[in-house]
Amino acid sequence: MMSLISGELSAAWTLLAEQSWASLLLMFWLTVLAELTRYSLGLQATAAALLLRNDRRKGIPVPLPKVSVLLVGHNEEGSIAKCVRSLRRQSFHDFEIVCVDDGSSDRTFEIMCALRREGLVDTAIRLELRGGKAPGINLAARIAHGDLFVVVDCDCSFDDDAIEQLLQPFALDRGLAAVSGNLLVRNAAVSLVASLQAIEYLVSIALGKAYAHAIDQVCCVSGAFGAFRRDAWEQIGGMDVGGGEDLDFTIRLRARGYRVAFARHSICYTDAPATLFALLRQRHRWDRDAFWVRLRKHWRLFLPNRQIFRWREAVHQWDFVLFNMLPTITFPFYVVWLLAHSGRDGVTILIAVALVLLALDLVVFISAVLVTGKWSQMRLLPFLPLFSLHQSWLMRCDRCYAYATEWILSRSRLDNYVPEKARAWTVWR
Amino acid sequence: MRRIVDTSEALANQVSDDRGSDNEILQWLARAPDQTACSVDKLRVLGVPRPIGSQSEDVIAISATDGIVPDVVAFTGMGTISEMRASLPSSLAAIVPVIGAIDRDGHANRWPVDIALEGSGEKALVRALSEARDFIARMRSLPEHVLFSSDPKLTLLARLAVRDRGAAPRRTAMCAETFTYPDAAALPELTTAAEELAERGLLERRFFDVVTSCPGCRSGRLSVRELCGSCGSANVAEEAIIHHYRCAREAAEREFRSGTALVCPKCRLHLEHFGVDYDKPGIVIACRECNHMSSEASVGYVCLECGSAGSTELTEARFIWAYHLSPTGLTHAFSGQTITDDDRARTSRLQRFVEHQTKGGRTFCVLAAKLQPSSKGQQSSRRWEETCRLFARLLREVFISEVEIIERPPLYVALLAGERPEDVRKALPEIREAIEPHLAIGPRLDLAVYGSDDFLQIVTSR
Repeated sequence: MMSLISGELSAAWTLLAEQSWASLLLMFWLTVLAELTRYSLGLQATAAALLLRNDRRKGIPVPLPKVSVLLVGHNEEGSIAKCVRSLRRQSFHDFEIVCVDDGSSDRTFEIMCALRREGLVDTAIRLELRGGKAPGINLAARIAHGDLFVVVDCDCSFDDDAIEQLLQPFALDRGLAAVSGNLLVRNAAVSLVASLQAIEYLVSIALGKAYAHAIDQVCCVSGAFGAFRRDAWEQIGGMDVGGGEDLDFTIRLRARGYRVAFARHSICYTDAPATLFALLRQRHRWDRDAFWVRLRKHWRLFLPNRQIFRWREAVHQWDFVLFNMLPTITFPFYVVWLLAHSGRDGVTILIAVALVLLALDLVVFISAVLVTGKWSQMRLLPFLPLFSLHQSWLMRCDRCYAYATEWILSRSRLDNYVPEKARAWTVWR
Repeated sequence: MRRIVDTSEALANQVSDDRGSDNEILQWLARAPDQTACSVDKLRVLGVPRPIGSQSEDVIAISATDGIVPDVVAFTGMGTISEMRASLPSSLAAIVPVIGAIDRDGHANRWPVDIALEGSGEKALVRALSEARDFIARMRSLPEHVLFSSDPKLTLLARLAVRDRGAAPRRTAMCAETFTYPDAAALPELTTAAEELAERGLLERRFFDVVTSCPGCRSGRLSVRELCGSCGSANVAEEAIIHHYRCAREAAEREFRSGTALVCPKCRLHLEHFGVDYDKPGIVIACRECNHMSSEASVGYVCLECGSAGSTELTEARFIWAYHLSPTGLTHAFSGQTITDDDRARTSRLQRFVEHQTKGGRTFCVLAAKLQPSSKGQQSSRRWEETCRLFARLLREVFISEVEIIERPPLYVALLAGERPEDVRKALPEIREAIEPHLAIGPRLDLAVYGSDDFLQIVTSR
């Protein structure tokens, strides 16, 4: 077996050595364009910069305005209490908690009321009919008394200084409108699928957003954990109807000229889907929503002749198209072309690519662990060899399907994430 | 058959046995003429405050000064409590049936009437006496010492036995408790006595109502209303939440209200079709003082008696019972058997245990547990009682079923036969571990272990 692999590798090496630079670029354009230049180099540069500059501070330097934590949940009886207790253990604890039960059919509201009686929750609101996350958060924001909102998902728990780290940028920079927290996966040990997502979160959020922050391109404050200034929130009228409300809201904030930051030391833990089916379902929704938000709702941001156009917004929009959509859509064609063009050598080339990506992933993964300072994440290392295969083959194909169905069939309009009564109003604007 | 009290000495001895000397009864007995004797077939009717003017051969009109035990009392005046008290010893007064005009205005100082005297004159009295026949028969069946017992429990049993009914409460706004037992006018210790009798199975409790009462003064006259969960103001009102589908705006109705129309404050569109472009998914309780909103308002009380205020969680829920004679209670009343009180019963249990262990030469020890309210925050007495009950159950679960536990909340004593005190002391952390985590309000639990010698010394010294 080993001799077979070494034989294949030796053949691949011979094949590659025989190629000219032009033909190598033709063969590996997707890897070079999508993986090497866009992600690996940028991420590694960011990691190096962050490791040289430790910007973690303790305490909040100036008094903050009143802070409200907004929690909106639908059927969250199993997680709401843990989330609230985790919030109340924070090093910064001068905040109110506003809970909205969005039409749950379980004991969510009873638990909220019990927490209120315990003095852990300040306000508990019960909605008999589910309206979706965006209206729920808008309601919580109207009821909250704070000038800073921290929006969290009910299935999250936090490092003890997560809120302090999340709010620090507001104290240091009064021009910031929003800060995104850092998300890590809590249930990585549950399954292989969850472990691979844990690596993905670590690389794409902990390091990816740090990179985006370095070049002022944080364009999605995660709905699971982020903070907003009330005046900016109200200026743009809160969240809009539709899925991908966190991405949409951040883009709208940025389009109004507000700045958005990422707090890498503000760490929140969330549960990732544990089965492949659940993962694919979740990602279909995310990818369709991203497509809808960027290409249908905010298409004007692409065009320089539009009044709303700004270069810093065009960068992330075009980045999405060129480095996310394009490689995703061309990937199946590339594989077919490669196999057709190179025959058996095509397989060898794909194996070589996988090995190169594994080496890149290893560097990026270790950088991400160093940047977050969470050494416990090193336990994910054994799963790394599967990561690039999972990302390049499985998730890319899945994303391709999601984009295609959204592009052709507008499938996001059938998502149950937004209740049917409101779905009809998710118009292209 | 009824005998006239002519053996005052014997009766005085009986009374003395019952609960020591009772001046009131002895003074009353001293009034008795030496050789007063009446036919047992005739009814002795005591007129209060004046003797009745009956000419009937079957009726002997007696007066309070005669010192004769009446079969029945007939009110010839207002029928006040003071008139009755001046005429008869309190226990006898509470037992003997009473004929009189019904007090429809519910004056507080009236003695409860058992048989209504409808009209006036001889005929009305004869009619009432005829109705009282069963009462009188039962009255005559009571042992003499029962009539003069200074134990209110025995008096209560006798009173109910004579009337063949229970003691039912009545709702009233006239007193702080908001309910009253009409029988309490005749027997002020009724509630305490009835509870003790119910514990012994001589009376049966039947649910009547629950009264929410002030934790400070126990008054049931409370003003209860919804309060703002944030500032505690009672100036709160319900408001609908409106969800505008098109722009995901969800807020209180007042934010959408523009005159008679609903206009979305975010997108400025008119909301026209309920269920099509908007709905009302919920209701909040909004405070007009601080603008706080919540779906669950706090409920607070103000005591109309003492003026204290707080959350209704701190109030006491008092169960109000009607008490009825159990078959055992009925037997007890007519046999006149003495009723031991709770403390005496507990002490005798303890004595029996110690004697039994000492005689057998067995090792024993006693674990005393005392619950004390937590110093953290105010707790309702309801929760405290619940905690005591839970504690007693948990304590019983800690030991095998043969272990006798004497309860006098918040003090509990486990009698541990065959156990050495040092072994029990070693097990104390384990006992705490088995109990404390289950007690939600976290009371302080004091545990002490006494060996046989220590315990006997304590018992002897007391």
